[in-house]
Amino acid sequence: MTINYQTTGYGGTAYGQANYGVGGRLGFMGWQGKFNRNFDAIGWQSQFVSPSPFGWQARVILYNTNNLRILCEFPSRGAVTGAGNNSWGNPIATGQNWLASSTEPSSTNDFSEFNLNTDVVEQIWRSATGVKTSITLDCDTELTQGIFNDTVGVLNTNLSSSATVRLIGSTSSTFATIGFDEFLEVDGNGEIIFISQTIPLTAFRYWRFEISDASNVADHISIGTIVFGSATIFQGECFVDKVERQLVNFTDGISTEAFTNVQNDRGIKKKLKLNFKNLDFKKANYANMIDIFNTARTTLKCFWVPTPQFPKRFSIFGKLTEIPRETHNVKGENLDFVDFSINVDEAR
Amino acid sequence: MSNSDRKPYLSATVLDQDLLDDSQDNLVNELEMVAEIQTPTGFIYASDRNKYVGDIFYEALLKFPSVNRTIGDWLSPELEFSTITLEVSNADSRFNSLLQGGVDFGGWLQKSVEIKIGLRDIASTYTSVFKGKITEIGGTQRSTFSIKIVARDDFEKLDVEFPTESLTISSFPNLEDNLIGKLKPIIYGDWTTALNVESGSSIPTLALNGKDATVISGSTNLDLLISATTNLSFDATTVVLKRSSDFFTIDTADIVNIDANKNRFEIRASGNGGTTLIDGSAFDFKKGDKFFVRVVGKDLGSGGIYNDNIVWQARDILLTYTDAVSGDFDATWATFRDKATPAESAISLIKSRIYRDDEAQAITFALSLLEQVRLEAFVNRDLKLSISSYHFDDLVPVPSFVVRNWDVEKGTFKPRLDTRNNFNRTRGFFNFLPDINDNNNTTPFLRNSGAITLAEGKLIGKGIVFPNLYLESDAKNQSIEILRLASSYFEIIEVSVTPRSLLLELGQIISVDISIGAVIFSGVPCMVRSIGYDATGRIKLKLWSFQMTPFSGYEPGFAGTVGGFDAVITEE
Repeated sequence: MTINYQTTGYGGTAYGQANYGVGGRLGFMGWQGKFNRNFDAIGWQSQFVSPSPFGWQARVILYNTNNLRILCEFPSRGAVTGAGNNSWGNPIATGQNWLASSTEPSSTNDFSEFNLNTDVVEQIWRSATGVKTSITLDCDTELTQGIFNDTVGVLNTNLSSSATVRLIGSTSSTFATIGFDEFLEVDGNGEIIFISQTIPLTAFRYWRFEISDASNVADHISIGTIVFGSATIFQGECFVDKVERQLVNFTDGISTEAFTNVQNDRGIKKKLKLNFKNLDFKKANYANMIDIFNTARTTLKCFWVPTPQFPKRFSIFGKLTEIPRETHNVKGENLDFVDFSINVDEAR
Repeated sequence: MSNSDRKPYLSATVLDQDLLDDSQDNLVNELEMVAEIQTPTGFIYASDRNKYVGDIFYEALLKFPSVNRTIGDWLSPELEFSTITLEVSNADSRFNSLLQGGVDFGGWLQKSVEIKIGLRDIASTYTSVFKGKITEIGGTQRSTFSIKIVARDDFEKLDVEFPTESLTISSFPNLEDNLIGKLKPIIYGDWTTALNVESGSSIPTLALNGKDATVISGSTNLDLLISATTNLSFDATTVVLKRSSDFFTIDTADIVNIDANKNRFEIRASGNGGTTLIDGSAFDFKKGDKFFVRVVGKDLGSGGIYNDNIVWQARDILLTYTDAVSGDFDATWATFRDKATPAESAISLIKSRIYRDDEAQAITFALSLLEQVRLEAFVNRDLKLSISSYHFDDLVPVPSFVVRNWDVEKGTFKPRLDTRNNFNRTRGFFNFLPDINDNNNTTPFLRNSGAITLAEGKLIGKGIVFPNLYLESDAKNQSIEILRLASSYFEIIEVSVTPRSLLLELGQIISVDISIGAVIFSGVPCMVRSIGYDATGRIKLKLWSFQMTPFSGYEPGFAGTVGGFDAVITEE
């Protein structure tokens, strides 16, 4: 649901000049949502839920499941800083925040559940040989207040279309109470993407994936990378309709004297190009993209879901190939519209 | 032939020629390379892609260089070591702790490096194409974004000098000055026959107490060392003194205190009852006196049946003086050791002997032994020392592996004549004797008249040296066979081929059946002389073409055929 809420006065003086970063949350007053900088007293475009002390409660939500969403920060990988141990007994802020009920032994510990936290999707967690049902993968986000989870990517799996994957959120490390419970759609094509249909209203520290796939042809279950958290979501504006998607087959070829070419097949990866036209300079979407350019740059992978209603068609876990050149149509101080294109490459 | 599964490499669990053939039929394969680099604290598992092999994750950290194996050049006894340079990404500083200034820096020399090729994550399909160590040559270097690692293959361990034992003043205080530091000789084979007629005995001895005044005065026996190696026998009746230019035989009764190893003895001094007379006077040692003996050298076991065998002598030198172990040698060593026919290739019947008292590279010397009987050693695909022969009788007339146009990378097929080893007249020099420090005998001049006629009468001569063969028939046989090959205008082909040739072995005979522009080879047997691998799947081959070199079963009858197994070689 998208509501473009515009008002005058509400919060304008108090909060309108504040400068909150992307992804920032306001915990006080029960708000949760994203405030973006560059807003003023009129023309807000933001996400929040606002309980009122005066007895009315309006859900003013600029959450949507139609527009481009980008997951750039992964609270699924635990805290950024902190001391002591997490609930699994591992040091906080070291990326050791997963606990698997089954893991294949390896002489070099190369099937560890901590591999779920790498950007190298080929580096997998693997269940022990023969274990394909009732597997649990538990994530301690290491954040006491928990995280709001609206976007989940489970990448490079070997799960079959018969698999069941249940995602549970809890404030209890033993999952004694269940606050979030959802079966994820599995189609057997290597990826699971979950898009919350409504804005999550409750944060949970602990998340559990319950996996069963008895008929899997392999003798184990494997997953490359799991990312989840609260995505940056485009509001109103979005990329233009024409999306360029490309599968790139990496090969080494040898042209022979028989007019043939023998290929050594090294793998296949996706590329995606999105074009943005006339983004309003003063609105949040443009600001969000600039934040991504500044933080993720061309060096960090993000999880891009251009079409959340059918997420797997264009989703890509990759890096920007370059920070795009922007074309500004400058009509005035508050009338600046921006065109640019982004290229995201899974193979970078 | 390929079936409807057009990507058999995705399900195969064995990397064999059938799979490579099937993949070639579909013009696609998926061979993958991985590297294991030992570090001061563990291993770097790296590849040019992110992948698992077995239970190990190999991260995309490098681009692979070409890895080469070779038999080396003909008539050049050098084992060529593979050297590779790997550049591992350190863009994220992850390996800084292992480098200079890092908390785990511990030096990289002698750390192991291995490169393997195989299929997917099936560990059993991975075969090593390089196994070596980081050496002081190159070692490691770092840049702002990478670590460069230079490694040489494991068989560098053969590249050591021998003999190793020397005479020291601490062990022998009365050593003559010119013998201080002298290497103790090693002796193999029968040194009781085919010797210098003048001296009668050819093995020099070393006086261990020649500076002792009591030796010179005739009151202390002269102590003589024959060799560092244990000898099978020592002939006390043929100990010869060379004084000035004259030779005298020492009385057998004066040869005393013969060591149990038969490599050391004494000559009784006149003061101790010595009876030998030199020009009518009792023998006493004088500065400049030299003594020569006859011995049968090191016993190579098995009842002594291999003591004269050149293959087993080469192997023993490598086993004794390098870090090689018996597991480093493949079965071809025993096969060629026992080869009994035909006469020119019957290694088991060819007599060889060795006397070495100066430094030589063990591997170079061993290869020179093998070269004298037309054998070559190389490091095989299993990373073992193997032997290849170019005996005509070992060549395969109809090889099962055929290279056709669709195997050959465009523009890479380059044949050329081996001008360095193209000669039509030769003479063999054989039977090196240490007392004269030269080869004592020569074969007659041998010529291939057909080849000389083809060259418009131009004689292209080359001498061939067989220092360790001492029977003329052996040296002559080898000279003839080498001349038959060298006068046949054989070509060397350099070519890059598809991964179908991955499993070829050095020394293997393959058939080349191609038609590329003006170059036509119709089922020509060729010997693989070197193989290079790279991560793109290219296999770079160097081949010997036998197109103009007939051998039994392959006699195409081209005009101008003058060499080969039945070429007429005449004596001058």
